[in-house]
Amino acid sequence: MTMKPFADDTASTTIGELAAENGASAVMLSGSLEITRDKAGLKRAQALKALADAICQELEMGDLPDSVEVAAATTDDVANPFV
Amino acid sequence: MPGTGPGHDLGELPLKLPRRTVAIIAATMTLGAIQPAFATTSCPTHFAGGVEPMPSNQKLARATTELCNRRFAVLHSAVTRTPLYVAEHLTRASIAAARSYDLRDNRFHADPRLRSADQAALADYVRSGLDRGHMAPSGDMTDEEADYESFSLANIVPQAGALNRVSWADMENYVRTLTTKLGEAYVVTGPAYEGRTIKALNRRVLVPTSTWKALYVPGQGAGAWIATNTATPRWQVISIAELTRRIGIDPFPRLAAATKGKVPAFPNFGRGRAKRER
Repeated sequence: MTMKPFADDTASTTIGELAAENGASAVMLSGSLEITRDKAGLKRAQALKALADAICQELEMGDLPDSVEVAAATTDDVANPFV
Repeated sequence: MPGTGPGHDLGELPLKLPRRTVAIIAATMTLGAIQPAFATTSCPTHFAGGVEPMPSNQKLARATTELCNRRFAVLHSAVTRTPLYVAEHLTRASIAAARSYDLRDNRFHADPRLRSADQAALADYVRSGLDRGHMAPSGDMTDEEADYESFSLANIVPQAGALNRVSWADMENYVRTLTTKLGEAYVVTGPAYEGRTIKALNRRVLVPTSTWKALYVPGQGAGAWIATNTATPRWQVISIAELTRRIGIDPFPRLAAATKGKVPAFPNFGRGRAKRER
């Protein structure tokens, strides 16, 4: 994994069908992950652990606020250019 | 319409053709290519019959650029600052390669082939409350270079998290499983803009009202999904003809009209009805 949690808004790391997207104020995990009892499963489990460890490490280092503001959609209405 | 006689109907092609037949069809396609409305693409292998989707709404064709990538083609619009469609040819082998490429690291990026004024910037999406939704899925990509191309903002539209992260991802996975079962599929994916008013991110990037995916499996049939780009997405399974009417783009111009008219027996991925198949 090359992603450094919370360091940027562009990095992404994927383990099987589980995707992690980096963000300065949040790391977003989505999808599902099957961990089979075999060598491939071990690789997935280790990657998941490395990701969770990196996230915890970053959070433990910082002086955290009680809650960080989560963005809501900010959009403007424009005329549909295709009608 | 020129070049769409019965001999050109993709719906008529059997799954496996003897080599000589392929040569004849290839020659026929070449003849088709000299007709101006057809095969102006630089990367025909991504398209069913080698012919790119055709906008029937000429307003959509304005300020567009074709971008050819390793695993998919993009028609990018400087009006929406998103793709209007992306096209992929998936095969059993490509899906096997994509599924064995299990641990991926990548990075969203602006596309170096487009002027920055014409395309979305990373800043347009950051803290916008909307996801960067891949149109050609990262999960279809077979190696790091192809996957990097899928993280270009030219392959991304603003998508509601509730759609992107849940039912849309399920549907993408279903398409991979179906391709593995049936051998190959042509897939065209993109945004729809319906209604008089459209939302824009940062006054730059248009937010689609729905996103759609059209699927054509040679020898089997074709159809599409369309899902509203909302917090509680509404899903519909529709024919290619109905999709074309709604979005103003024909995803498979060479497909037989009879095939285009059929509503496929696809699963609906709406809430409570999603059937996970792997």
